[in-house]
Amino acid sequence: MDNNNRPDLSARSIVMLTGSVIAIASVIMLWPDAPTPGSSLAQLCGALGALLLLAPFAFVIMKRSGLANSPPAWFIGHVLATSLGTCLIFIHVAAGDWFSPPGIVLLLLVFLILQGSLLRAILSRGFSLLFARSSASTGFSAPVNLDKAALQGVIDAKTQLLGTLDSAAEEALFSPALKHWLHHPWKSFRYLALAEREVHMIGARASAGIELGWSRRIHMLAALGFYLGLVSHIVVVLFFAGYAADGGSIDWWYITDWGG
Amino acid sequence: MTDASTQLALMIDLERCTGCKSCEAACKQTNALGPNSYRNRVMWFDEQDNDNSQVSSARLDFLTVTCQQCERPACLRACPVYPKAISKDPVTGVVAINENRCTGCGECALACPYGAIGYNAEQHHAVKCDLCSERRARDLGPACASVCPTRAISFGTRKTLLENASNEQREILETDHFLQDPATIYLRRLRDKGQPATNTSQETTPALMRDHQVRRKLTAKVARGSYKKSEKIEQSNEPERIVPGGCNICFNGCPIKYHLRGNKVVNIYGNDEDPVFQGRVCPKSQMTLQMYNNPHRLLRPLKRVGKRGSDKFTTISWDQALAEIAAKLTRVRDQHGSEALAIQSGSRTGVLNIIGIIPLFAGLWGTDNVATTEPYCSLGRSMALNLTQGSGIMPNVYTEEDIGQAEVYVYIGDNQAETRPVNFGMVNDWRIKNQATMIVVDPRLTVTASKADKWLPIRSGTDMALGLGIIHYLFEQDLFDQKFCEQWIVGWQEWRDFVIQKQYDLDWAAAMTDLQTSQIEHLARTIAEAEGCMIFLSRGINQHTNSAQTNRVYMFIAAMTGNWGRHSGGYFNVSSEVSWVSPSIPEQRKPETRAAISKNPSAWIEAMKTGSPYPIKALITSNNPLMHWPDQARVREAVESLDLVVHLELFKNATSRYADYVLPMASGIEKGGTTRFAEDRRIVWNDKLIDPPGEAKSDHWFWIELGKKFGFDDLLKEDYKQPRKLWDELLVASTPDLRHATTERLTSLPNRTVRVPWFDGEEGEIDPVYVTEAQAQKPELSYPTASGKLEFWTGELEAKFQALGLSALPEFYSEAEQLIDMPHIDYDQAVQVSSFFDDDTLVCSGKIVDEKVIKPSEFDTELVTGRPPAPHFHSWTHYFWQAQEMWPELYCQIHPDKANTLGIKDGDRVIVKTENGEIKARAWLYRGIRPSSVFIPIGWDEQQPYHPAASVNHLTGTRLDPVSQQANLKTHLCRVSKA
Repeated sequence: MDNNNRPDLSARSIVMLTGSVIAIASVIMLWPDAPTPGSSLAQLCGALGALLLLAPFAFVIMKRSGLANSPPAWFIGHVLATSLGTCLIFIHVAAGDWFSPPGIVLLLLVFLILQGSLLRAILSRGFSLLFARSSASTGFSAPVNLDKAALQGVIDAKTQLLGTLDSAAEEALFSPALKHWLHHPWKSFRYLALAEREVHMIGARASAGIELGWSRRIHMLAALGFYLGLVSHIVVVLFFAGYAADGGSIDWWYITDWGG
Repeated sequence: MTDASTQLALMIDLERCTGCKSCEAACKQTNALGPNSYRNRVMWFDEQDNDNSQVSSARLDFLTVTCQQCERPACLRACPVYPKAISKDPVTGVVAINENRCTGCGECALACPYGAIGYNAEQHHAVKCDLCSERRARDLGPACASVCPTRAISFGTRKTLLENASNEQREILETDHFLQDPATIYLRRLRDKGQPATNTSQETTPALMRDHQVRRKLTAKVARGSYKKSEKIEQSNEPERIVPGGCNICFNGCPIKYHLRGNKVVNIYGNDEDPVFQGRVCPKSQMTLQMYNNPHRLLRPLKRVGKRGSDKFTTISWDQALAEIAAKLTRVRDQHGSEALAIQSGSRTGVLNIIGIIPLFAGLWGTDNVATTEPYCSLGRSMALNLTQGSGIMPNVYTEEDIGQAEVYVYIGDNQAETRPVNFGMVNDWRIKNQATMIVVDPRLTVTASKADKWLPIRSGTDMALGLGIIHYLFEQDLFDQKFCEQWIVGWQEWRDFVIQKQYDLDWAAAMTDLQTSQIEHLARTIAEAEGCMIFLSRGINQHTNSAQTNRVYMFIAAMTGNWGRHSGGYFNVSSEVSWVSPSIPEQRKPETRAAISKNPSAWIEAMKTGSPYPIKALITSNNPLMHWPDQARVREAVESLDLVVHLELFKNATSRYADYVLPMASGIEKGGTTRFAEDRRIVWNDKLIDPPGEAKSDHWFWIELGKKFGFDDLLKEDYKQPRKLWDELLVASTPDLRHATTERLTSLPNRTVRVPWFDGEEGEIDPVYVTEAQAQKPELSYPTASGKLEFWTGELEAKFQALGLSALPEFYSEAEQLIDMPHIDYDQAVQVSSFFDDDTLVCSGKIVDEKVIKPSEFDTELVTGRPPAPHFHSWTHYFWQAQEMWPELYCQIHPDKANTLGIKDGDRVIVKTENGEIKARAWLYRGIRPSSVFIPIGWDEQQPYHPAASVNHLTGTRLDPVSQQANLKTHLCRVSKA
């Protein structure tokens, strides 16, 4: 009973928040005299929105770096900041073209919000139902068919690699943290690959079903895509403003107009 | 690597586990877990497919899923937080979650190959077993191990546990298939010793256990108090006090400890200071927490304003309710006589009322139409015991020296593992330790049978034939204890001659019972050759029209093999009753009354509907007759025709809807009193510890207040509202067996428990109940019969039986509804005063006929009814969310072969129909049931809040045992089809 003060967003709060974002975005999209993305107001909203949308990245860093006293609070922060940031981004894009490269980034953002809300508010119930799903894993009524020698090989390889990655760590309790990724990215990647191989051989994740087993990873993958898109967009509009304007006028603040 | 000498672990014995889920109940109340959040869960496994056509080879197993406290915990490695939200203690090896760091990503739950990480979906964080870290900090072990009724779960250092397993020569289940190095130890079933896992059949959990959709009503909202972390923390501001008492939910009265904070019960555990149970307790006792803090409790008196069944009520005051009820009762008495009032009480009502207050009120009012649930449970047993030994008390108790010393345990129609899990846990423990033999006779492979050396899948309703076959064989083979018979039994020669003359031999018994002659012969020899055999019977024997006679047959088997009035051997049929004596009423205060209409409320139905033999027009009832009385269609017609129905209950149930007044009652420690009488002659006392909710009152308060309206308050005294006074001054004073069981003595003991009749147990003292054994030291001891011996046949007995058209000699008969024709009772139309009851009671006599019964051909299946698994008890556990989480839906166990022919798959909805009605249930394909039978449990009704379903008593009929008035609830013919 150590979580008296543990912050959390209830499923109801998440649904209401997401609903609010959708409602606000819809109203903005129906704004007849919406400013163009490059207008001062829209660009400011875009910039502020982009800053807020860095919160999820901060959440990832904080929870993996040991800097967060309360990772659940950071989780909430990432949800709230994303919601607000998305509203600002919608102001930024209200008069924009959805069928353009930045439109794809926006679609990714919408996907992230909807999928994230779905995962937290509804799909997460499935984690409860995983309890005892694998009771046959004890092998009390039927043998468990697993190549133990191969599995041991993977564990041995992990142990060996860990000696060079973090000699103080125990394989039994270890997974790469941010510091390992920063100092030994390749070794960390190799270690992760081995760990994934072990997970695959054990088969627990797979037995949870695609929906539950892969939703979080899809969310992270989509987030990565979103950030790559966001960074590309910022770089293009700030440094390749001419290319972005594609022969038209450049009505936004920029640094260089390369590509014009 | 954790040091094995400091590494903590659980050891779970699959041979001892009975799947009762007491560990789940303990875990959730201790760790504030609501619905769907698990730290442990007990899964049932049975066979769906098996090439072996032998029904008796079926299996039923249980597995407690909990954290394995792995040395290489996959959950910990999967946690993406740094420092991790999951940690492993280097000394104890315990893997724990820091919920304040958990972001709720679920990676740990996905990673665990044992499916042993739980998740709180409302607060979005993982939960897992940490071996009750908070309890360990207080030098208490994990809650699951402390309550386990069967001692299947033990806790300690892994090294010690492994040594214990080794000392008992137990085989450890290999569970390290994923090289996680799990610490939790599972001990394999004894019969699997040395067998590879491939040799056990493919087992699976039943669909109704796997299906989460049906539990969708069980949301976090239903969890209150100790099951909700925020409320639990709030409660912890109040100082805790621990008060011993007894569980009041069933008749077993397990000693428990109430943990209270302020006016709230916050935890209920077994009483570890009780020398017999030692803290063992079943899930029901613990889940009474959900009774004391339940949103469905009735809070104020209700008066019906719509038509019966409409569920339209208005709130009224107690004064108004009592005044109106009194006025209507007066009208009924004026118009139809005082006997037109019938009173039914039940286990919830409590001993103070059943034995004390209600008989006093009824005697003063002038009605003998007073019943408890005994005519549905054990009246046949009580009748048979009183006829045979002159009292209802049974000597054998659950101690190492007594039942613990038996060489053989035979259960016939007694599923003790699911109905009295603690008692069975002790027996099963002794079986394992002493390598005793256990044989179970039952149409189903019950949980009890799943632990037995042999299971005999008998045809329902033919246990008497089995008994007679055994008796015939014992006489024929000279395997009986002639010395005992000659010394202690009156009329044994007449029985012997009758059984031989009737040729109740093994072949005959095999044909009747659908067992093999070799099985019956083996059973007979096993009983006869044992140095101490306990024969346990229960509702499977009692709930038949041959109830009293079948009980007498098995009493005879026990006695003729010397298993009577001694340690380690005996006849047992739950529960052991002292010779209760109701409070006396001065003659001048007793109105003249007509004879009671039966002892069984089922016989009241006709009186309610037609006024024959005289009308019953008012019913004051506790419990839930519109669930538990058989033949519900007729019951409802009858109840609808009444002028007054008063329902005294905790919750609105099926009966409430038909009531004119629904009155909120208190229970257990809300009102105080004794529990029901325990299985081993013990009485447990509860003081009133908390206030009842709203305006709920104790039953005795109601009867005393109602009595005032009729001027009964000189005998139904105001003082009796205090339970201690009521017990000491009314019940103890009138029942000699209780003379030392005063509240002063009861409350002076750490387990609030005394064994009756009183016996100090001091050195040199003789427990007088072991008459046979103790007589050598105390020659004046005898049985309280006319002869001082056990009476199996006497002229007096014969006269009593003949008055009802039967013989004291045990002629076989069964139920009319059987797939093969069997002798059965043909009832006389006219009623007569029974020769068996102390007071005048009208019954239908009958004669045994062996005529072919014309049965509709569509009814081709034997319907067997009985208690559901251990977490349930009649109606009231259906208001406990956790019991619903454990076993939500009404089910119908059906053999896969039969199901296949009907196109029914596991989990399908099925319709079950009899001549009396039809209901729907969920199919549970189960190889452990006779292919010609289906089983449906009792306890559900259509008004329950979570998983309502029509009661199985829509299917049952109202044929009564002429002798005991016990109703046949066990054997009917039915048709099953896919819904």
